[in-house]
Amino acid sequence: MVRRQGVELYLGISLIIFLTVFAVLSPLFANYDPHQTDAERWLQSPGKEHFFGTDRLGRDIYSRVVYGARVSLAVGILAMLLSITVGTALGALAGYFGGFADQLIMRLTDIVLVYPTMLLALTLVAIFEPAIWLVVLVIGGTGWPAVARLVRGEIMRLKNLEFAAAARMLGASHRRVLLVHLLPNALGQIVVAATVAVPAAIMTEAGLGYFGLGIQPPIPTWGNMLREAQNYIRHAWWYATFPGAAIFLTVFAFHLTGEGLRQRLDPKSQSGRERRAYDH
Amino acid sequence: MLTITDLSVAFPASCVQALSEVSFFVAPGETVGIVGESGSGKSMTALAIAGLLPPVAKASGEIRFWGRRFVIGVSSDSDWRAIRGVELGVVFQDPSIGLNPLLSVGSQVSEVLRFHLRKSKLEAEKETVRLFNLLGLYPAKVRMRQFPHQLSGGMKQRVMLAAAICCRPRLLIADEPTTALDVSVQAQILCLLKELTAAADTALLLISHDLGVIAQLAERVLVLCAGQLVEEAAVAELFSRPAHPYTRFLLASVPRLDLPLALKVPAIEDNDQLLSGCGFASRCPERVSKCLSNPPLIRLSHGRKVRCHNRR
Repeated sequence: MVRRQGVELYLGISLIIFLTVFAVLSPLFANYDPHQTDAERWLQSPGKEHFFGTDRLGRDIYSRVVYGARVSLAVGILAMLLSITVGTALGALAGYFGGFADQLIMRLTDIVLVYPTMLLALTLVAIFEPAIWLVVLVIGGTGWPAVARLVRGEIMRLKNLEFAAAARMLGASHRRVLLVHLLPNALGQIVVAATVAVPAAIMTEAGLGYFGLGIQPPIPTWGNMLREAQNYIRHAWWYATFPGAAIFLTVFAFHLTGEGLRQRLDPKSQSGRERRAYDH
Repeated sequence: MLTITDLSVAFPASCVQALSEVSFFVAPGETVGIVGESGSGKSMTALAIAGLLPPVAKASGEIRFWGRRFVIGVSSDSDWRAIRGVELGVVFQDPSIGLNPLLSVGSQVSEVLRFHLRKSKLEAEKETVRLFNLLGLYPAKVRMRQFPHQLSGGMKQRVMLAAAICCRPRLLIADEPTTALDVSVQAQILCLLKELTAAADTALLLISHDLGVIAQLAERVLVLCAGQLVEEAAVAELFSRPAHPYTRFLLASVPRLDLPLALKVPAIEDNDQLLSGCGFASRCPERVSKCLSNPPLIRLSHGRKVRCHNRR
């Protein structure tokens, strides 16, 4: 069976756009105020009035999921950008130059890796008020070592291939070899790491919220909605299902996009750029 | 044009002396071959000339190249970059990993032209088409847009060659340029090397363990053994009257269809790496006690040198 070229990418990007539109224009899509409680209509099952039902305080779950997209996507994407930027830069330097720079950067990643995220979050929350930027900082600031290790390994592998040496022989500077020849070849891996980082950050935010360190209620996030729902999971299936489905959809969208991008970035892949030149 | 004086390279961490006090020269337009078994320091010589020795290596020596002077360990990377790609071209052994898999092969050549000769994109592409035609990469305009994985090994080596010679270097170093290719392609690439260097009056430093390749192309041959330059001779003389026992071993170990293998070069044994003396002493059947002291490189006649106490 011939697979349509790049279907994953288009589907993934469409889903991300779809989710982003919901997040940005949530007041247009939500039919209730997400903070409006209704003591008479708590834990109502999905129906005409409340598409996704209501929660324990009678708030409309659909509206809360729509508003939750704002915080969850913002946290996920910003934390991903932070960890990917820092991780790629440090990993590439460590992998390319090796020696002392490598030692220094790798010991730094070890320190960050062994330091518990929760403890760091607690410390920071004690100093500052819990806020979105703080959550982004904690998640991004603890997520980069994994990326750095990945990129370092990839760069170390690539720099031993002869084309790096050949580029140097042809007069390219270290900077050029790293930016033009090595990093683009590692891009597939980095993109995959990035698409995994977004849903991971959304889930970490939920975990932080569990200890009251994340985004504070009543601001709805998919993470804190799931946490609230856990006590009602046997009586109100809709309570956890819809925020969960939203997370699932996001993970799925980023996964598809990552997979599609990875294929497109690899010229060897069949569904890569359209190529009419003949192979011999 | 290229003069190398007392080039030494050592890897202290693994106690390996890769090159010891190697000195030689290459005249403009000349083709010089370097032969030797694996680990004799052939590739290290090439890397040293380009200033790309691994940072863990402890190296010394001086290289004069077309009026420029480089002192290994002193000259900075930017000094070397002034010649790399422009005045000095290098072709490596394995073309399958020598090209960036993400860039079209044409752009990998035209990029060099744009970078070094400050050509416009259009000019560089025109020049690349010309080079591809010259090197037999037909149809050039289609080939340019292809990616390394779409080309065969021989074609990739032609692309590498195009990138190495596009700025008309004065010296081309070919480090085992045909080892990874099959025999028919090997002959084509060798012919190309010969034609291109002759046409542009480029000197060629040909590194190979294949004496057949050396015999076809080189005018003068340097024999390396365990990092020492043991013999230097014009190609005809080297093949007819080898002066060093190591060279005789190398020549005798070329497989022939009509005769059984006459002599085999004894393998290097790890435990008897000599710290001083002739690099071949531990394996030499003609060894005498003074071989353990370093024999000097003696000039036999014009352009003919040998490092052996027992020379005939």
